[in-house]
Amino acid sequence: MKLLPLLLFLALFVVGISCAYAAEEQKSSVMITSYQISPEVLMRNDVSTVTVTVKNMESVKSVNIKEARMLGRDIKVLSDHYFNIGRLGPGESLNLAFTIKAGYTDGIYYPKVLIEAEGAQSIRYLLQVKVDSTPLTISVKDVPEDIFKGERARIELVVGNPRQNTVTGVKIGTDAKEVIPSEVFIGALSADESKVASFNFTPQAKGAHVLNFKLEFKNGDNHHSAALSVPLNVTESKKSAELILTGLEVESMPAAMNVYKITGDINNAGLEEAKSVVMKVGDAEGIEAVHPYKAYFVGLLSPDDFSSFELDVKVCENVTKVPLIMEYKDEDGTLFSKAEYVSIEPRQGTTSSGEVPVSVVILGVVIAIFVIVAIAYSWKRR
Amino acid sequence: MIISGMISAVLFYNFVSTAQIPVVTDPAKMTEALEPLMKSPMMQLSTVIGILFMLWSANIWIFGLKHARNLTTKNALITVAIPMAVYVLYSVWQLVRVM
Repeated sequence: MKLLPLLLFLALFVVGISCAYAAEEQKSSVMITSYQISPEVLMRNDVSTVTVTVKNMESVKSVNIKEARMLGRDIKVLSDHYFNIGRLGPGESLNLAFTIKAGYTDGIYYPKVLIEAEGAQSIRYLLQVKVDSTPLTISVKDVPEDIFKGERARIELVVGNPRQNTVTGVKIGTDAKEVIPSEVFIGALSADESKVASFNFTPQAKGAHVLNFKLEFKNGDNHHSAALSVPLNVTESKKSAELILTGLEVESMPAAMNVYKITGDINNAGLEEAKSVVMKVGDAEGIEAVHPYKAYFVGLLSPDDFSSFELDVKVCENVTKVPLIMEYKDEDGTLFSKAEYVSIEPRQGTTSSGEVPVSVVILGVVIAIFVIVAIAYSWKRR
Repeated sequence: MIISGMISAVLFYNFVSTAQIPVVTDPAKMTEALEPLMKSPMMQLSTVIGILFMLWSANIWIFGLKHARNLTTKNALITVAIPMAVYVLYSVWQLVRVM
């Protein structure tokens, strides 16, 4: 008889548990089917958008989603929680976007997504967020062994993407005035991809040059940059035309004050042709080129060749040196200019007997004596 | 006077053949442009020779005037000397001015 209540209790217990299971089985099923992170891999302090897809797995019942939120300890969640999102029909899905911001440490982080729905089980889902601050690499691919003054040198830079995701808006720029173009746009660069950018460098001075290039790219909406300095040594060309002045003579013009005729030879001691050679008088205070030879066009000057020239210049009395400018072009049309100074000795007064031929002076004296004798004779005869 | 003109012509030719004549487009700058030319020793010598021959001519004029107008030598000298002095002074002044 004592067994009966015990059996009755067990029977009720089993029925109770079964009912409880049945009640739980009646709750609707909601799932997070997928999520997307853009950009896929963040860099330090980057902002990213996480899109979570929530789906009602029921085939008949709809679900009222009350709240959705994201929680992260090392990843900062910038966006607010979602409240009273609404009903999700059977089989329907919904995208929920969250904004997150990476910290200052690389690693893999797992922020949580919590979704609460009426008549459904709460969802707690862990997302995987990678933070990797490896930047794009920029390096010199090819640069000429010798770079000469005034000659164009091609510099090739290579940009590589060692990251796990694609970066966009990749461009390389420089503020160096002698580099063309000043910016090269590369565009998108996939993971483990590299692209080459070419620049032309035409130095105008010899010596050490440092070209600074700046690489800019976007990881999602986040701007990043990297820098590259390329030290270069510019020297004089071994083959280029080399103009030398010889046989310079300065002759003062007898009729015009402070006007001098400068003559001489211009020689090409280089191994390449000098084209469109022009001799000019340089600009300086108290110096003025005058006609008929304000400038002298020599033209083509082959290696080991020379040509004579003539220039006319008017100078002030205190000027002792006159700059002569030699201009020429190479095969590419690049203009070169070289200055050389010629000394001018100022004229010692305008009545210097040295400027009048001695014969003329003697003639003047003879005439004077003749006239005086003639006058004296005529008075004596009287 | 003819001999004076011939000698001056020779000197002037000798001067012009080596001179650089400036190009002047503004008539107002003509004097300024020619001033350096007048400073040439050759031109100054030409002027001096002209004065000498003018003095010789003046000497002849004195005797010509004396006989043509029956003047005394003193009066003929005064008559010729006045314009001649003006001419010579003007020429010397020009000569000194450009130096």
